[in-house]
Amino acid sequence: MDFAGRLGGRRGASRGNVDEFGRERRDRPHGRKPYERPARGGRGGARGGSVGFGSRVGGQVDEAKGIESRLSSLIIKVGDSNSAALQNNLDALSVVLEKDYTKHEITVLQTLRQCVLELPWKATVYATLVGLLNAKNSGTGEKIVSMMHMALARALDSGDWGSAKVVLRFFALLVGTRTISSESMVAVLDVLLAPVGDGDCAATAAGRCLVHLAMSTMLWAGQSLSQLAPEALEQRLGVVRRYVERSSDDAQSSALTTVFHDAPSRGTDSLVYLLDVLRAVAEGGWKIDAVCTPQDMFSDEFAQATVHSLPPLELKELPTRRPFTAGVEFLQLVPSPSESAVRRFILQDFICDTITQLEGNRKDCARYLLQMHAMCSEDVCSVMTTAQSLEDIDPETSLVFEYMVGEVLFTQMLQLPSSPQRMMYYASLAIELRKAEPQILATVLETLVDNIVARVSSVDVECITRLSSWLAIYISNFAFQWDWARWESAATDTATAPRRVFVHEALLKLLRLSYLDRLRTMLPESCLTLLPEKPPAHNFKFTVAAMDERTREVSVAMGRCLKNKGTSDQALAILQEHYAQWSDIDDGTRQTLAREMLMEHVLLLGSKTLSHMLNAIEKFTPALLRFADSPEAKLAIARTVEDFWLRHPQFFVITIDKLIDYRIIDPISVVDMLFDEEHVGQWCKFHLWEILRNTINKVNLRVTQLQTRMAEDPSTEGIEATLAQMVQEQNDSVVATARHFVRLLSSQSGSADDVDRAWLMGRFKEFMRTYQAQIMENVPVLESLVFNEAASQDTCQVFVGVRNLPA
Amino acid sequence: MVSATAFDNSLLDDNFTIVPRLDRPSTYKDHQYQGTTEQWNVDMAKSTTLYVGNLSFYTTEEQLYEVFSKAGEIKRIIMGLSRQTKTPCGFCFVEYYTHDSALECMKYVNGTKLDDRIIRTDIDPGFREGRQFGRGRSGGQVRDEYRQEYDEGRGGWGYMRAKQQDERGHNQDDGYDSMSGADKTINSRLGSSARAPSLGDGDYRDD
Repeated sequence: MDFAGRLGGRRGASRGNVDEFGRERRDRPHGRKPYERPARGGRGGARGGSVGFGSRVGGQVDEAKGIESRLSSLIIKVGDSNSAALQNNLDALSVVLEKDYTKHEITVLQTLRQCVLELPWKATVYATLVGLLNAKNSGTGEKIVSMMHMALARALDSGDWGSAKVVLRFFALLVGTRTISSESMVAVLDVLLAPVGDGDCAATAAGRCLVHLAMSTMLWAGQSLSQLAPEALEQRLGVVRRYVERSSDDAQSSALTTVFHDAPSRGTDSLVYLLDVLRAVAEGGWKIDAVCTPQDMFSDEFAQATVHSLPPLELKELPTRRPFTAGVEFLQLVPSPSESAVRRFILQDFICDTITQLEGNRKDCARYLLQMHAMCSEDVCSVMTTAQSLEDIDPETSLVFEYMVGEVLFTQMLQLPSSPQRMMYYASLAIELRKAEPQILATVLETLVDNIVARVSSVDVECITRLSSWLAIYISNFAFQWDWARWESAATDTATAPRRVFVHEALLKLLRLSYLDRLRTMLPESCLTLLPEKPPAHNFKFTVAAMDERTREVSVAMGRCLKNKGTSDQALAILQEHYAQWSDIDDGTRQTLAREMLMEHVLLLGSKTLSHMLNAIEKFTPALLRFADSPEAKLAIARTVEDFWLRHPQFFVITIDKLIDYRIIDPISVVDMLFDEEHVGQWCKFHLWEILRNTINKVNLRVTQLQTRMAEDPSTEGIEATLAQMVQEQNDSVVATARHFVRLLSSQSGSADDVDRAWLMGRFKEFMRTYQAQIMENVPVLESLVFNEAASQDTCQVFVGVRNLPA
Repeated sequence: MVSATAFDNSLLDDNFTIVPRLDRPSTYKDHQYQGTTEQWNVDMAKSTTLYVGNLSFYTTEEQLYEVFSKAGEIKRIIMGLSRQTKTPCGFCFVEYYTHDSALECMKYVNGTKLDDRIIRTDIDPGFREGRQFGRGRSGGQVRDEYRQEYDEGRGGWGYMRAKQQDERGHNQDDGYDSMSGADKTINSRLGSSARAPSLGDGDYRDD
């Protein structure tokens, strides 16, 4: 791999050689394409990452740049293979850096900082390198420590927990290379643990996040601290042990965030899990043997070094801009030897950090993920991509690197209540992994998906949804090739059986990304019944020949009016003119009929594409608003949309969304429509819950946006009243949703059978944990109105669980 | 103790990364952009809009919506149309509600496939009326004007080459009308109500 080419500093120089998408231009003998324009200068600050060389001139600049990019490249590449030469390489590199350091200080420092942040799996390598630099020149060591201290402070200030974790690990290793003092390390641990104290404070998400950071640091500092400051280490271990013991999840909370309900019920608390690892490592004398430890080879050099103390770390009030994270127990999706549990954790922890830290570039992340096994000590794991023969590789007898990567990817993706990154990251990262190693990763990912689907009846409902979306994107990126035959027996399952629903919904997602005929050609005969029979289409009501004469007259007039670009007023006039003549009905019925007639025709006008739909709704908003004058009317409009788009779930979802945007219907009417009795027996349908999520998210977004605006300019006219109204709507929506759920789950008629109820229950849990913040705002109301004597036992347990989840 | 003045950290570039981030705009600059370079930079730094290229002419707005909504809530999608036929010509603009969504899209969606084609996205300073039309002489995108390769998803040969081909094979073509079935299979994605655009559809958008 050409690392030099990826250095930020060089990008500026090669701008002329990339096309508008930043790709390298191909050499074309005929020169420029007609539409190419001469390269312009860079666009100022739009792109970060260039190192300033502006002050130098001519050949000197090139030469300096050349040296600097070579230096960077050496630092970035060192330790890429855990070979016998590593000791020599590190030694030689430290000599070169020592020699050129003063001339290229900025480059060396920046590169080192980014190596720690962006290449976390090589932490031991960089700790050794910095240890050697410090031993050679303590001034250099001091500068590096100061720089990394600043990086840590910034990470903690901005809530970048991933960066904080990898810098802390680096510091822990620097204690071992005699670069920072053990007292400093203990002081950092104390700062992290101060907010949770050793008293009786309740577990909060923030507290758990800090304890997680402290535990992860101790894992790597343990070896040095157990020699240099054994009592201090023991004392801090006691603090975290007591914290974990008193704050570990109660049974109800852990049941709420468990991915696999068939897994051993020791809970999913990541801190309990990490504590187990810490105990095991401590028992083994704090020796971590999963990865290479080049620092052990330089004890003599380090013995002479000057040990630095870190400046005091200040922990200001923790930012809430990014969600707190307390790690997660990695899912076990393939069998692995139980005696390798600690090694598995160490390696997967590195994989996890890499996925987090390289989120900004999934392509390089994938490439690095497939190479980082080089850091493993010999015989720690099997590597499929470098193995002579795949036949000897058996996950039951040894850890398999590629499976561990896949497990971490799925662990993050299925993490509850929410994944650390956007779902799409996990799809596009998987795509890049497979592109980098087509055969092997195709097999690995297929096996892992298959292993999850084999347990689908015990998988959390939201996770089934996430996996189906992931699978559709993944398959659509590889020419729609997938071995569907493996699931062909799903076609004969009952309509609501989990496996059938999963396969069917994955196909529906694929259908949104593609089209029916394309999918038909990719499916074996035995699976065709899992696809809809006809392409998605609308279900316009007024086409049936059985329509009575006068209804047809209105419909024809409306159709003509809308087609000929008639206005909102003209449409209203036609409705008025026709229905006024119907003397046998009362005003209420007249209104109902006219509303439906208008709605159906507006939807038909907009049925061609989304743009048409938006235009149609926008144009006829005044008329629609005239008919949306009561909660019942709004509910009726939402129902008309469902009926019109009965055979096109995607259009149903989007149309509802837009009608809320134009405030023709409101969130409560959507909630009421979703929990309609007519949906009993259909709780397994994913798009209903897609609508619920969209709707509640929209309400929450409106509140957040208004709060931001109010913070920026509190004097805006009427903003306070609008905000109060929005907050009211937010509370009403959450309470109404919980009420519907509990009503249905607590009654015989709320679901068709046990399977139907299980789907509904899964969605209830999803709703409760996803909107925990809003639930907590409404506890008294929910207690009295919803979770009272009439509520079923299991719904009340979910309520208890949500309230106990650390917030 | 390491003194606070041991090294002036402000000399370091906070945006320096080893691995280049994917959420940066390319070097492309719209030559019809009306405004100063400073204004361009301001627009780009808060842009919520993406230009999306290399689409098949047959890709529908709904397919785009499905993929692009994975990066955030979409405000609107503006299909790129041929100036002459007012049919999709292989590009679009996607407008999100937030700048962050546009960046997420650059990170996760750019370079993935839609309709078996790798889609390319780039941060755009913002849609202006008129930009929905192709700028090639023949109405489509410039890239299709002189394209020498055959591309089934983008109307076959490039416009110029198609024209030459047309003239050359004019006599031969007589009597072979019934054999052109290529776009039938592609258009079979349309449901019975045939709502998605086809090449002959003149009133694709009213604006």
